Amino acid sequence: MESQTRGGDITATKEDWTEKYRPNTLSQVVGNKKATDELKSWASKWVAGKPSKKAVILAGKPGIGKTTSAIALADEMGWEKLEMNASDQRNRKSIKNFVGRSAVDDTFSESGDFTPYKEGKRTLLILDEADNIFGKEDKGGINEIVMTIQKTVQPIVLIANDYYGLTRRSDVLKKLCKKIDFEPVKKEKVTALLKGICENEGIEFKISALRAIAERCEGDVRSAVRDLESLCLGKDGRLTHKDVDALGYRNRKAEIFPTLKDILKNSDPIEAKESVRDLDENPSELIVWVDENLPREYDDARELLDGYRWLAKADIYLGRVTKRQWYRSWTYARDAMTAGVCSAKRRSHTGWTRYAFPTWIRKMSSSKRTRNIKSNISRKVAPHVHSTSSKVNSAFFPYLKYLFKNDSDIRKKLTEDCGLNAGEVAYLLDTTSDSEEVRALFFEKKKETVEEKKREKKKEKKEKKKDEKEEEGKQRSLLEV
Amino acid sequence: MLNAEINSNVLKDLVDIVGTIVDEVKINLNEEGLNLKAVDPAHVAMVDLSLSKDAFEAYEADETELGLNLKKMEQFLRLAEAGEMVRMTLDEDENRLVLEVTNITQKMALLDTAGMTDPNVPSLDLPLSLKVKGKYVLNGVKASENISDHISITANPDGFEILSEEDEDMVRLSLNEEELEELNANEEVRSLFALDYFSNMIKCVSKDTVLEIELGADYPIKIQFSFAEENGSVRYLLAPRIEST
Repeated sequence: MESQTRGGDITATKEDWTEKYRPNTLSQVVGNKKATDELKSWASKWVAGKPSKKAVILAGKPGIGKTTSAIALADEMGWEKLEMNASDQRNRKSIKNFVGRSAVDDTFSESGDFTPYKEGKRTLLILDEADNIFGKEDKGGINEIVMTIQKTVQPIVLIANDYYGLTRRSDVLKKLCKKIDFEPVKKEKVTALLKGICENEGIEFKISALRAIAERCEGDVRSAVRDLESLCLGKDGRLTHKDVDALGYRNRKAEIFPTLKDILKNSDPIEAKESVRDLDENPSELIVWVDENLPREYDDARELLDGYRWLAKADIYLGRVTKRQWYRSWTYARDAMTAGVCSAKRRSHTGWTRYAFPTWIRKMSSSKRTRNIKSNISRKVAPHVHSTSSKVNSAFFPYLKYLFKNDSDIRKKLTEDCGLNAGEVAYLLDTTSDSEEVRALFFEKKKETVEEKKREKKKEKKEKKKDEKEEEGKQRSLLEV
Repeated sequence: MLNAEINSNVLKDLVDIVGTIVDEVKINLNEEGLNLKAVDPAHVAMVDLSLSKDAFEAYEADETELGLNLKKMEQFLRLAEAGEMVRMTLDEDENRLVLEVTNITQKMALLDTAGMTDPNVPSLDLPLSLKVKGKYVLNGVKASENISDHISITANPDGFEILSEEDEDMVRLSLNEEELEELNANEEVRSLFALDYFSNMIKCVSKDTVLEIELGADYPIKIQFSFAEENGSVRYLLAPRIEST
């Protein structure tokens, strides 16, 4: 989505690549050979008369060529086409007045001509996103379609992302329609298509970059072409693997980009401030976005300095929100990171800049597991060293790790007393949990626990007499060695 | 700019005529009056309408386009008594049409006409033409409504016939040459049409209005008539029902 809108901003006059490279014939459709062949053979039955199934359902994920194939089919057969898509109002009445009519009445062509049906002209009726037609408010819609298919003298194509969602409400519909499955397109084919586009557009490319785009589109040709277009725009006709990293934003909400643009490109701080108002984004998240993209936009050293000063200020306010639970600070933080950063620029920035998903968020999420382990260790160790877990985490940890690695006694004792598990031990030793060292430690530990239990039983009475303070003292001294 | 005053009956007729085909329409205004072309979503019926400034009590307009929601217009016109004057002006700053009847003012948002294009109305060369009084066709259509959802229209050098048939039921209206105002025919032609469109199209036709009909064999029908005391003219095209074996 974003890539499309952003592409549209600067190439309003140019044609969208998804349109420009839309195939005109079925054989040009990328992939899905079996499906297009089936479609073609169904259509050829219409030339002779009426096939037993007068409608087909093209089923499959978005962007893999269903609508494109339907349109290409009509063009290839020399048929007229009428498309009812999601932007049309679609309730029982409008279905009746639209496809319901053109299924039995002859039609004028788009260009205002008339060729009679009996002279062989057919009109392909295309119901796009058919699975989205039937909301709760309009249960009659599906019956209207069934009736239309029953009476039609024209070929009908229903298009659905969710075949089950479409047919589960009507067995009749299921019986009346021939199902044609569209599969996600193989990435080699997508790559080949992208390559062809690049060559045609005169773009130098690294094939690995195209492969990466094809990979991440998961068989969705349309989004692959869009991604390619958005990456090539604003570039001087060269595409490298690194550029593809910028697609990290794909799953982000679309709204953050216009806001970033208002902050980093425009010269009006008030506008930048207003822009964030409608944005459903926590300031502590927005700041990371601004942080990531500020240097992508500001090129002057002075601008960068001032910009980051404002960001630093915003960060201080954010800290106060957490520390003092004083949410009023959010306003100041927000103003600093929007209007403040905006005012830092010395000229307005034009052109297209590729904003990226914050590296920080990506790193934080990929290090989540290890950070969890570390904080678990800290928590377990903390009571034994009479400290807080955060102190252990931030201050003691390097020493703890060094001791653990180099002193086998401490290693044993610490594992045992703090109840560290294999994963945690492995983390401290910088190895995996099934490594020799870790296994050895736990095997020894097992042996010892058995012996210790025997010992403990004998000493049970004695131990009861011992008081807790002494015990803790003993453990502390161990760590202080 | 638009500053006009018009009899609500005329406006009602206009909304009826066009509302048969579409819910939203682009109206082209100029100094001489207005005209519009529309095709229904199914591409089965087309209308081409023009209304001269003489149909208005007062009329002043620049060349401009109005995107109109006919459903809203229809609702507003229900507030007007028959024959009452409707004042129409354009609030260009807010892109709204201002409609006024005696004590009511309604401001109506105009539609964006950017995506609305005038369809090409084909100039069909049809082999047969005739003129017939509205009352006959109205009767024939009315009679057919009880029978079927489509009618067949036949014409030959001897006369004109509207026939509706379904199962055992049949109703027929026949007119001989004398009963028609005019008949130019060298052969017999017949076409089937969807009745609901047909009856909506002639809904606002009065008994004395003369309909000019052009017809072919399994071909669209062209129906022309005037309204607003000859100051407005309408041309409908309706594609035939497909008869397939």
